[in-house]
Amino acid sequence: MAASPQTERRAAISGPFALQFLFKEFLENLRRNPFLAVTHTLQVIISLTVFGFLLLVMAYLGAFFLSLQSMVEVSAFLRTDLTAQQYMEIEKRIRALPGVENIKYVSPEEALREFGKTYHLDVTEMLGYNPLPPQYILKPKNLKEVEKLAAQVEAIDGVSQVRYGRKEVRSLMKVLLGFQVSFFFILMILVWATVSSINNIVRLSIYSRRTDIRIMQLVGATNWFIRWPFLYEGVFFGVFGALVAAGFIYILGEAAVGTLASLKIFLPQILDLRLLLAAVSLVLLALGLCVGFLSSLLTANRFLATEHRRIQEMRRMEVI
Amino acid sequence: MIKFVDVWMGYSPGVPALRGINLHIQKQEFVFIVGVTGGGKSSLLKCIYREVVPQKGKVFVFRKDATKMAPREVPYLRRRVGVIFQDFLLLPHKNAYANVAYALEARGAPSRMIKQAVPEVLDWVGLSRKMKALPSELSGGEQQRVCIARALINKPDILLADEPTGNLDPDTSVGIIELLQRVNSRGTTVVVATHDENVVNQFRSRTVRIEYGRITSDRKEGGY
Repeated sequence: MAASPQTERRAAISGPFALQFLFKEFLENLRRNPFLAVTHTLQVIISLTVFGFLLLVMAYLGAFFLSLQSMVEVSAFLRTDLTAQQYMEIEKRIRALPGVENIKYVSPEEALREFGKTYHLDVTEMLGYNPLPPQYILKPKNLKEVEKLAAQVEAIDGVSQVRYGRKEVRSLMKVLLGFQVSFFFILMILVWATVSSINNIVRLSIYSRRTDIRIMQLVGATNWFIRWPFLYEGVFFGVFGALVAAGFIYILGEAAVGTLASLKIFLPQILDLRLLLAAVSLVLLALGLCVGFLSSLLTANRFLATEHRRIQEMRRMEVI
Repeated sequence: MIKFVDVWMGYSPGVPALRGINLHIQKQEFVFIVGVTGGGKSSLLKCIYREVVPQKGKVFVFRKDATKMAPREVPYLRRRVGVIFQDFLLLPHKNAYANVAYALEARGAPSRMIKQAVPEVLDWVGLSRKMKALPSELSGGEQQRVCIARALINKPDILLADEPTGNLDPDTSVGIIELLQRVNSRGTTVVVATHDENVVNQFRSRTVRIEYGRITSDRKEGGY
């Protein structure tokens, strides 16, 4: 054996990070447990596909509710005996309210024209005068605050009556909240399913490689060095599962729109489907990456900590 | 190089495996630790490579107290202490070359160094023609040589051998101890725990007898 100085070898060992070796170890893990890898990859793919699909539906429904929200208006009818100066004063006070997105004045003449258009009736001919009062139409900033806003407007001197779809707004709010809560729980369950799938892959992989780990520990590999192949594995399964799931979501999304179109059911064009699919794919990728990394890190840490715990327990033990 | 000061160590409460061990092993020494199975030989070695910690006393390795070592310091201690076992602890799916290379790879050594060092050390232990053989294709003695090569690849200052001849026939055992003596002659401190009377009597090195966790004799030119 050639006599190279020990210091030279030790210096080289603490040198660059051995990505090649770590990647080889990761491939070795896959090669040794192919059935396990396929089973758990399918689990990750299924969980992430359902997750992505629900996310898609949730985003669509969210946008749909937002578009409904934009249709909600508050009509403030004014007394007819006020001067132009007083109308301007009322407008100023309404504009100053914090929940108002925008405000539009509708004169009695305009209101009459709209009424005629909608109901095909000439009211002035029937009554001999225009019964419709001047009004302000407000768009609320937030659907949740529409009742409060209506009450504030009604309290302004000169406003005779305020109208908005109180019942409709309330039921819309209930449906929206119900959807949000149930979707949130389903999404959490799916995240948990993905985490536990990746956890199982890494745990079984660690178990099947316990002799390798033992040797690594005996020859002086640091805990970080031992962790890396398992982290690669977790990230690989997370990202690979997310990519396949994104592909499925894309196909499912396109197919759903196609099927609805063939049934003559057209989805309102509130969102660009392609943009939405791209966003959901990105969310899936980020989720796969984070869940893969963190769950394998936790599993590897749990395994490596057992050695430390054993030493700590020995230290505390009273043998004499 | 290695110093035990009143070391008491056990695996369960009230049952000490080592009882007040005091031992000093100098640099470049070759020491046999002998005694019956369960007497404390392996526990003594485990204290040196920090596989276990004593509940009382101090174990100095390279002048540093291993009992007080933080977990992050342990890998750096083990880079200087090679260990071989009776059951070899080889990876069955890797050939002799890969098993030895693993010890360097697992510490992040560059591939250039691995390609140069592994054939050299395998040649040195007499396995240059069996580099591509899997452990299942090697005899017990050859497997133990692979283990020695793996322990030597990092050029350790101390080599610990826990019953290295336990699974080997007498002739092969002698060959393994001769190899360990060659390691020692290159300047490495070698500590061999064994209950193989034959081997100990044949090589006449310092012999420490340990019985029921106590050192009962320590002779310079020993014998079993």
